[in-house]
This record gives sequence, structure tokens and C-alpha cells, in this order.
Amino acid sequence: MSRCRRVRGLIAAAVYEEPSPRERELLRSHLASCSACRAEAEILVKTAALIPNCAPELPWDLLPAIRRCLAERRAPAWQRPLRWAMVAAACTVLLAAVVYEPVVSRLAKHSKSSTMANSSNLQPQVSPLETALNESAQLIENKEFTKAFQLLAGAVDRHPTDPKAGEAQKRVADVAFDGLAWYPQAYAAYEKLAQKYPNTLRTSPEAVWRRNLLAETRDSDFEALYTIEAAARGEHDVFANLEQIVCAHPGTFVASHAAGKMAALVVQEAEAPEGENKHLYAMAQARECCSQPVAVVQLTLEMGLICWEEMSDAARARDLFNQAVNDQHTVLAQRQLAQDSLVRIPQP
Amino acid sequence: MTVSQEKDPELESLSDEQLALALKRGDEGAFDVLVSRHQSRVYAVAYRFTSNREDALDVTQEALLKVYRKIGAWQPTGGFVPWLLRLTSNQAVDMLRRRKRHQHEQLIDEVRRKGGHAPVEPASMATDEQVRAREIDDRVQRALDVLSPTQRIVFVLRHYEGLQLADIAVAVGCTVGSVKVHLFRALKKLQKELKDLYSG
Repeated sequence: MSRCRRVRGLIAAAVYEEPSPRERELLRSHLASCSACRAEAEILVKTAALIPNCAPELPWDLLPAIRRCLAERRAPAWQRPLRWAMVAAACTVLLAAVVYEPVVSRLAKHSKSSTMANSSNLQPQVSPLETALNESAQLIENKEFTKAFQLLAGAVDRHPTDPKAGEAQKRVADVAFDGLAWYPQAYAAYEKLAQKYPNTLRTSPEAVWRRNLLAETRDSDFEALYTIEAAARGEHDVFANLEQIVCAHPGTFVASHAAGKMAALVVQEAEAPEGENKHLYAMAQARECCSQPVAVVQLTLEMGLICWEEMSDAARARDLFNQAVNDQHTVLAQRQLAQDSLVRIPQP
Repeated sequence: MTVSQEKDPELESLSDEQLALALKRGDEGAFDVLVSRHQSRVYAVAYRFTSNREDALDVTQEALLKVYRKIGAWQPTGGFVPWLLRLTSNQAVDMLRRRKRHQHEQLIDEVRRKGGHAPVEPASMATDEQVRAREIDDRVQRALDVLSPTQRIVFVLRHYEGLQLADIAVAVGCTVGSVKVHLFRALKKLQKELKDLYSG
């Protein structure tokens, strides 16, 4: 009976697929001696043959509807009514209603006295956002990221034309990304930076890179970034888990982000030998520790990018990108990234 | 069904896996080609779960949107179609669960008893055969309801979609041995449900 149970799966599989020689022999010898299973096999073949294999026809092309859905969902996050933003707005209105009068009267007094003080004092004025930036620096040093985020975001909203507004907006985004791992808010903050203070964004390659990374992961609700964060904070197999993420997203900003975390894990920045670029050194050390060929290729690409973008070392960058192009384990996305990078580097 | 989109011949010539990698890189054109190429197949699988056109269309659309959103999680080492059909099956099973939770089951049964689901058109058959095939398909569609979600996924992917058992194992996330057992149980249950049709 237990033998019958073991061959049942084989019988069902054999209805659809050619069994392996070993399975065929097992089936043949069992069916020759077991009439019950023989009957079972016959009835299963009959059942499968009875069920018509016909497909229902798709009534219309779904691509236009899907495209529309994607376009709607892709509207910048800060233009959409985020729940936390609505709650914050509601709280502000409520707070304003409760404290409006006393605050206004106090502000009026303060305004008068400060105007008098300013007119009698010729010291250079500090802009409101400069003050906020200084205060936030202290909060960030104390790892009070939430307070820093709220302070700066509120200050930028109140003084959008302040000369320091771009810098403050960039710091809002950086705190959300780096300190808090609040990716939806970081995405919204970098988008606002791009829309309202494009010059500040342009001068920061790191901010441009983060904006691209967030845009890449936004459609999956930043899932990959949370996975990287969880892997980096894990207690066991941190390097291996990050390597898995690199292999799952080859040739993307996500892979690049995970590779950066791997490099940071392997080498503390202070350990780089004198005269050596610390990022390149860390990435090379991490590459030595990789066990997956696709991850090795990705870290080679990262090294090439560091050589070109940070060190302007065209020869070394070209060599690394060529290694990535010619590696038999390189996947399509990585090869295209390497080829695109080679095009950007001037030929000798 | 006509596809009105302008096609990029270069993308059209790529394999599913190459297109999926291009999509991972952000090539939106690759997504359009994947949708155009597989939407009928996704709909057919969805229909085998939902038994009605509207729900099947919903499942199809959501599954294809998930492809766009979750392409980052697709591993280039695995085939694209098994991954796509797993997303579709999961989406369909979720819909069935939601449907049960909302207690619409009775109403749907009633509609189905009256032959409310969209007819399946078996291609190039004589009229008698066509009528008989429709009748059987209608019975099979009802019989599929007695299968467990995993049995249903395994049966639909193997019988209707022709996926290899090894690919189904990857899609379902179990061993090939378990897939064979699920297939056996599915066929046994269907045989029980359809046994009166054998004499005909």
C-alpha cells in the first residue's frame, strides 16, 4: 500500500510528462503487479483527456488601462494626499484655532521689540533657515532625526524663498533617507528639491543618485530599500543577505546601494591605506568576499564608477568596465550599464 | 482582441527574460511588450480561478501591474513565465478568498447555475463537438471549485498552460514531488466530479 502511495505522484506526472528512465522502470514494475494502480492510471489518463484544453478569449487589450493606472500612481508623492501629511495639516489647523490669539498678540509684541532692536543694532542678520540649519545640525549630532526633520521641513514651508531654502530642503531629504529610513518622505523631499531648488540638486551628485534610487523603487513601495535596511541591521549573515539583494537586482540603483552597504561592512573607512581612495579600497575588499559571480560583476561595476566619477581615472575605469562586459556571469542589465559607462569615458 | 500599440521590432525580438531585465533597468517599452505578449495567457489562468469575466479581467490587470511593481524581486536565474503565472495565481486565490469573505459565494453559484460565466470558445471544432466541449468545460469549471488552492494552481498551470512540473514547483514554492502529489489529488477529485461524463 505504501508503495502504491509512492507511485501515485508518478502516475499523475506520467499523464503529462515523459518519466525519467528510473521512474519509468519503477512504474512499469509496479503497474505490472498492482491491478488497482493500473486501473487508477487508466482512469487518470481518461480524465485528463476528457477535459478540453481550450482557452477563454481576452475580450479586449488591457495595455491602455494598465498604462493609465501606472501614470496615475506615478504622480509625485508630495502631490498626493499622504495620510501623515493630512493629519499634520489637520493638527496645524486645530493648533492654530486654539493658540491663535495669544500667539498673535505675543508675536506682535515680539515683532515690535525685535524691529526696534534691529534698527538699533547693525549686526548682520541671520536668515530663519540658517538658524534652522544650525539647530538641526545639533539635533542630527544627537541622533534626534525626527525633530531635525520636523524643524527643517516646517522652516522650509514657512520660508520657501529664503536663500538657504535649497540647502535646508536637501537636508530634509537627507535626514529622511539616511537618519530615519523614511523612504516615501525622502522621495517626496528629493522631488520637491528637484522641482523648487534644482540648482541645489544639480550640485549634489549624491542627492541626484538617491533621487534615482528612490524613483526606481517607488513602484514597489520602496520594498527593496526596506529589505536592504533590514539586512544591514540584521545580526546574522548580513554580508550574505546583502549579496543576495545585489544578485536579485543586478545593474540597478538598488544593487549599487546594497553593494555600498557591503563595502561599508567589510572595511571601516579608516582602514584604507594611505593614498588609496577609501571607497575604491572598500569596494575591492568587499568584492574579494563575494561568493556569487553576479555580485562580483556588480562590485566590479561599482569600482569602475568610483574610478571614473570620483577619481577621474579613465584608464582604470575602462579596464573595470571591460572586465564586467567580458565576464561570462554578467547579466544583460549589468552588461548594458558597463557598455553605457564605456561610451561616457573618452577614448585614449 | 486587437493590440493597437505601436510595436518596437527590436524589443519584440527579445526573449521574455531579456525583456524582464530591460524592465528592471527601467525600460518601459519592455513592459508594454511583456503585457502584449502575455495578457491573454494571464487572463486564461485568471478565468480558470474566478469563473467569470469581470473578476478575471480584474485579476489580469492587477497581476500585470504587479509585474511592473515587483520586477525588482524577479530573479534572472528563474524563468519569467512561471514567475508571472505565480503572481497571477496568487492574485486570483486572494480574490477568491476576498469573495468568500464577503459572502458573495451564493450569488455567484446562482449565476453560474444559470450559465452566467463567459463561454469558452474552443477553436476549430465541429458544432456538435463544440457544444459538447462547452458543456464539459462548464462542468470542469464548476469541478475546479472543489480543489484546494494549491491543487487548483498546479492543475491549471499543468493542464491548461502546459508548464513543466519543475517550473510549477518553482512557481508554487515546493518540491517537484509535492507538485506531483497535488496533481494526482486534483485529477482524482476531478475524476470523481466528472465521472458521469465518461459514458457520454
